[in-house]
Amino acid sequence: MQALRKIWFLALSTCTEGIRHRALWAIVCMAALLTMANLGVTTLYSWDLGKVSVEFGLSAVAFTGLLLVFFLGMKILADDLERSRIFMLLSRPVSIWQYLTGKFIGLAMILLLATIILGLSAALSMRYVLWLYAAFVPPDFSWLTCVMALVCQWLSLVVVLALSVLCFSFARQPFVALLLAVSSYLVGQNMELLRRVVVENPQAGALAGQEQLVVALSWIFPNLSLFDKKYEAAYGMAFSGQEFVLLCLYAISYSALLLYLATLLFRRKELA
Amino acid sequence: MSRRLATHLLVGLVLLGFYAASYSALLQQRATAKQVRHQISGLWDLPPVVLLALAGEFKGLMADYLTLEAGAQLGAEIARTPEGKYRTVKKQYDWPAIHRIFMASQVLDPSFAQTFILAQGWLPWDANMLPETQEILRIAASNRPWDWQPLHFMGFNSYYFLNQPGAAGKLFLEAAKTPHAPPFLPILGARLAQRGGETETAIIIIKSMLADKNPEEPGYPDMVDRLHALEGVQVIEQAALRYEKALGRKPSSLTELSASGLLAALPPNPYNLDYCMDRDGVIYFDKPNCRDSMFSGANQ
Amino acid sequence: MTYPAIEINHLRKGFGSGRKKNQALSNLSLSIQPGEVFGFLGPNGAGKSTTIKLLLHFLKPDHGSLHILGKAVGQEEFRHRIGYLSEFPVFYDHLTAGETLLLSGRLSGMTRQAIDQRIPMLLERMNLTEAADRRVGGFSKGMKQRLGMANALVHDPAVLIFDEPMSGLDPVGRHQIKGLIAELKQEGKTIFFSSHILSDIEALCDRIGIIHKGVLLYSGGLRDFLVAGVGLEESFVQIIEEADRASFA
Repeated sequence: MQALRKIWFLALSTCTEGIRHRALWAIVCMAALLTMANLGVTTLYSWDLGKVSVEFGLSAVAFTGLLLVFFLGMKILADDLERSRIFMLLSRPVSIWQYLTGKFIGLAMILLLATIILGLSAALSMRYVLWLYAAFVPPDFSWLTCVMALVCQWLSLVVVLALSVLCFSFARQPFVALLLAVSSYLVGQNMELLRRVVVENPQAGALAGQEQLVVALSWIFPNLSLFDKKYEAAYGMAFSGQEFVLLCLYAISYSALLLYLATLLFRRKELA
Repeated sequence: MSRRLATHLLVGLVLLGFYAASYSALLQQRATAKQVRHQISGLWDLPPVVLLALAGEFKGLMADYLTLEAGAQLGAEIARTPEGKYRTVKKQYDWPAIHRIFMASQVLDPSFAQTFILAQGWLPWDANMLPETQEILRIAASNRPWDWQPLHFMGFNSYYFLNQPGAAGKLFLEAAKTPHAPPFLPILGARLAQRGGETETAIIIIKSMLADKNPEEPGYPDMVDRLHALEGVQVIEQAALRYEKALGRKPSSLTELSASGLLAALPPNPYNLDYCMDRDGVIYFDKPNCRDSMFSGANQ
Repeated sequence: MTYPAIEINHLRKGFGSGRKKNQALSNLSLSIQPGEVFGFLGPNGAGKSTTIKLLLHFLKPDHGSLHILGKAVGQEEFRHRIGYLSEFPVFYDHLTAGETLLLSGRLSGMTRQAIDQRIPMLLERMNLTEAADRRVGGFSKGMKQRLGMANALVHDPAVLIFDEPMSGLDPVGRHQIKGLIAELKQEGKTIFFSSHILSDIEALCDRIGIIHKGVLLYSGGLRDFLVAGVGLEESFVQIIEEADRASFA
């Protein structure tokens, strides 16, 4: 119980740091402006305006979230080490896993806050567009699907955040950690594509005949494309509650595994 | 003016002048090059797999951008006359590249309506790229099960460009199956299918559609009438086939067919019109004067 | 059974590898009894901060053992009973002084009630009452040092470890910290602090340890170290020079 309380206090402190960070608000304001620009962008199209509006709004959330993870999140983690702030915490009875988990949860809370703000901003502009161009609303458009897509987007960012924490735990330099995290994100986004190409196409270049390797890699790297529900939200295609629950479980289990690995690696790090 | 200020001004002016001259020269060079260059290239030239990988989770956005790019490539080009007025210039389009833009957009988002509608608006016409258009529409149809338009366009192309009313009719009938499809589709589809020798197919499709429809729905009675008309045509066509088998030639008229005894009686026509057989043996339920020179021919 | 407050046995620590290996500590052994004020002195780069970081488990030793209040460092939990002040105290700039102490207190397992009672008292003791609601990012060096001291004391630890506590302070600040250390000594706290300001060592310490190039040259009573008629500074310089001569020979 004590351990959970410490994690919560660390998470709260990290979340407060994020909220009081100017960079967060600059990014969020920029993204909110982008979602309002949704209104202008949508008028460039003559058909499927509803889909353009929904997709633009959700993409703004995705893009902002990635900026927050890679720049704000990794900066907060790196500053702890580079500026020796971590000593303030680790001179207390706080274990490495409590520290990393607290930081992770705090950053996930920042991402959640940003997702909610941007989601509301996107929803407002979407609502207006869908009202203005009612003829172009996809036949089965559903706000519930949009909310589920938004939650999936947040889960995707949480997984990327866990990846970033892992990279941070073993990379010597923050820039190297950032590069590794971005590379892992790109691999994760295309893992499903790679798997399909290699499994369905025996002549797939250098990876020909390497189906097992690719399948193994698809288990190691996160399959981030599974969380991408912009298409479903844009065209009003429902995805099942079962899939949604499984996605949540996948995100939680994968993130927990990454955090555990990060703890093991971080323990071996010389902090001074 | 102090010496320092003068120096700063001089340096500033020189740098500004250098910048203005080089940028102006660059713009001039590009304007000249633009007149010669007709080929366009960009992201859309990448292989589909690379495009998908590059887009990551922003496939929809990239597809949206590509259709805007297609729109920018199409359309009229305006030039200024020496008198200061504007005139439309006959633009030279790089149709293969524009087709690649549409394909690239579809790879990223196969359900996007703007892609197939723009493609339909341009490619089969000036570009003379009908098979490519049909492929784009086919992909759109399979990825937009709620939308009757892709199949409708395919049907139109089959009828207008390919002169295949049978195929067109079948496509219209397929389009008619989508939810909220307009009521004219099964009617038109049935007509064209029958014209193209696909009467039996048309009857099967309309029957299956009626089975799923509520009798109170709009268009239901019209579909029933069309079904009865097609069934009447089918009876006559089957009798004509028996005639041809027996006598080695097609009947020259409905009268001759009725007189042969192979057709017991002309079936009732729900439109209260006489059935008609034209000189090519095509049966009409809605053109009693089909043997007149204006109306003869299977593709009317 | 009473344990030494701090016990270091045969500690070795090197950085780098192969030819580039720098042996920061060689076979260091120390023992500090409860209630003692122990001054750990040495020139710059002697290994003082490394020893402290090993005590706090920020670094892992190559060889040897460390114990604090009988608990093995790195294996058993002891940090709730120690207070640490680093040479350059660093805090979360976005937190206020009050929030910083609150976070530290909570992480040390204190109840909210206990923290709420302790924070105003500590801030007053450190002359930071007016800055309680100001973000630490705007603090001066001296204010951060005092906040660091308050941070080390928030959970009333038995053992205090200070790394150059007077570093960078003006004379008033130094006087304040010296007074505080004297008060803590009266309260029976064990204080282990490193410094290269010999006058402070002379004024405050019961026992001292002298380290040079990772080797402990002397550990024992301050009085026993001083040669008759020679001040601490001269004695210190003498022992360092002797060590240098011995190592060159």
